[in-house]
Amino acid sequence: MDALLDYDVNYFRRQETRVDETALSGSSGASLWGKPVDVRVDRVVREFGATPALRGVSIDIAAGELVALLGPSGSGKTTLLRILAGLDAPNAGRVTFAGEDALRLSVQQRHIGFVFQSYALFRSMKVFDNIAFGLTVRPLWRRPRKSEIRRRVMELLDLVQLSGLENRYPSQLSGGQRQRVALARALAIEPRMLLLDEPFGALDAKVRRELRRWLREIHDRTGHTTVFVTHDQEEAIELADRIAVLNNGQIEQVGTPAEIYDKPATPFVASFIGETSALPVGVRSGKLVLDGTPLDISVGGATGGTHNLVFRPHDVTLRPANGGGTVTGRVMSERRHGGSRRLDLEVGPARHRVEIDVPPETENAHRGDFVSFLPSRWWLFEA
Amino acid sequence: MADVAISPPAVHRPVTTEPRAARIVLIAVAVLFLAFFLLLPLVVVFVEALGAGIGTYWKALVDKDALAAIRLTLLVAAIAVPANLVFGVAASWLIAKFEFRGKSVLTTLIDLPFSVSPVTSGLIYVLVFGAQGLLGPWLAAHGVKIIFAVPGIVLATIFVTFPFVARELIPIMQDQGTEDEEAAASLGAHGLTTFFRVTLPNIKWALLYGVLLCNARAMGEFGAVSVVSGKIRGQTNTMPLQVEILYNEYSYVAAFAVASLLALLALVTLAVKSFLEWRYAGELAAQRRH
Amino acid sequence: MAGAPSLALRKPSVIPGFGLTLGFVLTYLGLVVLIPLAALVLKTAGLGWSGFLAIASDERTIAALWLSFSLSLVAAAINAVFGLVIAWVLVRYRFPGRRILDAMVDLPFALPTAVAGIALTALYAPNGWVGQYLEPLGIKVAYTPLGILVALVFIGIPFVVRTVQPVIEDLDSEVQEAAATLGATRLDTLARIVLPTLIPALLTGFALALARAVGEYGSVIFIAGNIPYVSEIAPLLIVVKLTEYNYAGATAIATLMLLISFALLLAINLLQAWSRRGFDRG
Repeated sequence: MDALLDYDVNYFRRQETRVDETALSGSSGASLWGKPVDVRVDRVVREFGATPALRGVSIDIAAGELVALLGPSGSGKTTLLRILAGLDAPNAGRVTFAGEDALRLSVQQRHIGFVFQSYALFRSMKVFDNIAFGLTVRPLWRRPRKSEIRRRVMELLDLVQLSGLENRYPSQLSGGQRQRVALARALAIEPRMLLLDEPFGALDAKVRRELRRWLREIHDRTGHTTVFVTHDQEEAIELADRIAVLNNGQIEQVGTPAEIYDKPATPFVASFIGETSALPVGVRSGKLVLDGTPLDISVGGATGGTHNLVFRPHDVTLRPANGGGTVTGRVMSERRHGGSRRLDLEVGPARHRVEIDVPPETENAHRGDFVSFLPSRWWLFEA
Repeated sequence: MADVAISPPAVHRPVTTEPRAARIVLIAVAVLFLAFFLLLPLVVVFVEALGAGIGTYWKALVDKDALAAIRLTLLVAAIAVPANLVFGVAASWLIAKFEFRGKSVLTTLIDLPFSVSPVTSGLIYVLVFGAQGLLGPWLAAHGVKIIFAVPGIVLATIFVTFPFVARELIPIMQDQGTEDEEAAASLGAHGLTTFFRVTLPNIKWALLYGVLLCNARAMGEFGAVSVVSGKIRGQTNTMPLQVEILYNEYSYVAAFAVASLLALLALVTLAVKSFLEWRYAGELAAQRRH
Repeated sequence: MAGAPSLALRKPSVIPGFGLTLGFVLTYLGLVVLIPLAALVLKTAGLGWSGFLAIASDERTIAALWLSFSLSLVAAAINAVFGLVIAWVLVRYRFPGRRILDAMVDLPFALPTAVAGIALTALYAPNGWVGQYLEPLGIKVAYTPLGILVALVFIGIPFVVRTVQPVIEDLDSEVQEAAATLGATRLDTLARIVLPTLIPALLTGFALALARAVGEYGSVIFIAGNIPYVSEIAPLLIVVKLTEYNYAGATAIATLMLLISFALLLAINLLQAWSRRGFDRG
């Protein structure tokens, strides 16, 4: 990472001024070229045949922000990314870049750097020509001089730490190197926005962690508005400024990683981000009731009906067994889980299964023992 | 949610396709080219054959020499196709199921007849078996006639159709690997049992496909056969040769009548082939990749 | 296949039939293909250098070989262009009649060459369906080299279509989308991304069509007119020599054809290896 730290921070600022000087005359939005833009997605609907992939999705993304679209496969996150890029179009809704209608622009006019999950490198071209491609396909009057293209490609190679590999073919590179070529190629066109589809999906765990950190650094240096798609919550939490959690074609919650983790808005978000245990509870005179027994948990506002008490396995406090007002369960199995011991409990006559974490040295909490606890942090969702 | 009344964006064309106008032009070019170069010749055969009425057409087909040509063509195909079928299966078994030295050389040699002109294919048999050929004097002394006789025609036909079955089978058998056969062997099955019960069901459609192409070529071969046949009417004339003779005698209707039978054979071959491709796309896909 | 080189002929296997099939295949191959081809080599060798050169430098031979190879190259080039368009249309577009069109491409494989020959002649003769419209324009097709070209295009088209088709089917759409996001127009993408991917298959198809065209006899002789020095192809000249019982002449021309064909195919192979650079590695 040393090379990166030596990197000239002013590079992209210089690039912006250069762009302005040469007075690029795109059909629209030329003045925005290369500068990060803010994005507004407004009630976007996309249907494939009769199947809705996006059911009215709205999200605002600030200029220079790094946003993760997180969700399981089929949640519509890649569809949304492709609509931003112009590779797909919504059936209804609006997308604006810096207030300008983006849907009127073709892919080519949007100036978006897109990194595909498969990298989609051009196999017949060397690394150099891959990165230079976006510059060499510009119409003659906007195309930089050959020497200028060369200089820029070399700078980008330096940025992605691949100097010296410009004469290789993509097939001669490792997965991580291909990934970086794909990013350099996307950056070469001075994009208004960077979109990445499962950028680390095809890499092994170690390379993935390295590249993640490195992508964050590149983002902080270049300041592009960046949206990336992932199904990996850890990746989203570690990398993004804000996370949009998608499920079944809708955005369930948008927020900072902390907000998403600590204040999940829906049971789906709670269960998709981090681990959760859940118990069906009722409410009687301001207290939660489990299987007819009141718990030592007071709630204001919530009334009658069935709710789901959701908590993280590690957010629990053990209580004396005969104190009453606690959740009591029998340990069915136990296993080591990070720094603690995880117990698999069977609770009450209805045999609800929950998992809790206890300090490894906890006594009287082994297979067959009864353990009482209360969640120290929890959320209540309508069942 | 879907009730948001926002004007839908302009019609979106996937970036991986061409503009409508370009598509139409390209389709038109392809259709016109194929219609002109492929369809029209096929149509003209039947129009010319039936142009003088169905009676004349029928008379041309039941002509003594025409019938002899049909019989000879069937005979030649009936020998050449099974011979190459057996060879094709053996060769593909050998190449697909075993690793041995010289395998790539063998594969190249099997394809060799494809790169030899049909005329040369006939010529080489003349050089071996002809009156002035290597074995000519010996054959003459023993009263065996190969060139300008049926055996020569059969040999030349076998040569030009030599690679068809093997070519279809080798890629598909290589694709399927050796695990099935190894499993069969581990269960105690013997060679032929393994082949008929395990291998054959896997390759039957490709086999049929290869036989089909082999047969079409065997019945339609012209160049090689014309060199070795001597073109003796009623004796060594196959259907394609009969077409040539009739055509050169300006018996156009008769020539096209016999030709129409061969064209029909081609159409049936194509129909069965298309059906196989459509029905067994997966099983045949392997050979497409080669 | 890794490991120390072994002296054994083959890797051990539990599958039966190696000896049997090897023996049968080699015998059959030897009898049907190798010995007869050896006879050609033997006969050529028997001519000696001077004898061979005398035939090879004969003006009529040179004219026939030139005609065969130059027309075959032109025909293969035409096939490469139109075969590419046809393959593209058949794979990428949906339109009524596509299946029939696809099946029809194989017609030259299935239609006996003699039938194709008389059919094309009937079409392009001065009074034929097509010929009658070309005649007033001063274009003569049948009984001229142009007619030979028509026949060679006919028999070569499936080779290109069938080799290019599977490669078009396997084209990666993400790569094309990537080009678009980088600002490339569709035409740029086709020319700079798609075409280079298709070139190796296109060259294979070109080579196959060329090899077939050079040796083609049946479909050509009817439409060619067969005038020595003008429209006499090399395979026909072999037949002419044979009917004159000039076996030496026939053999020499056949050998020359084979040699030139192999040289051409070798050149195409090298070109192909070059065009594939970067593709097969990794």
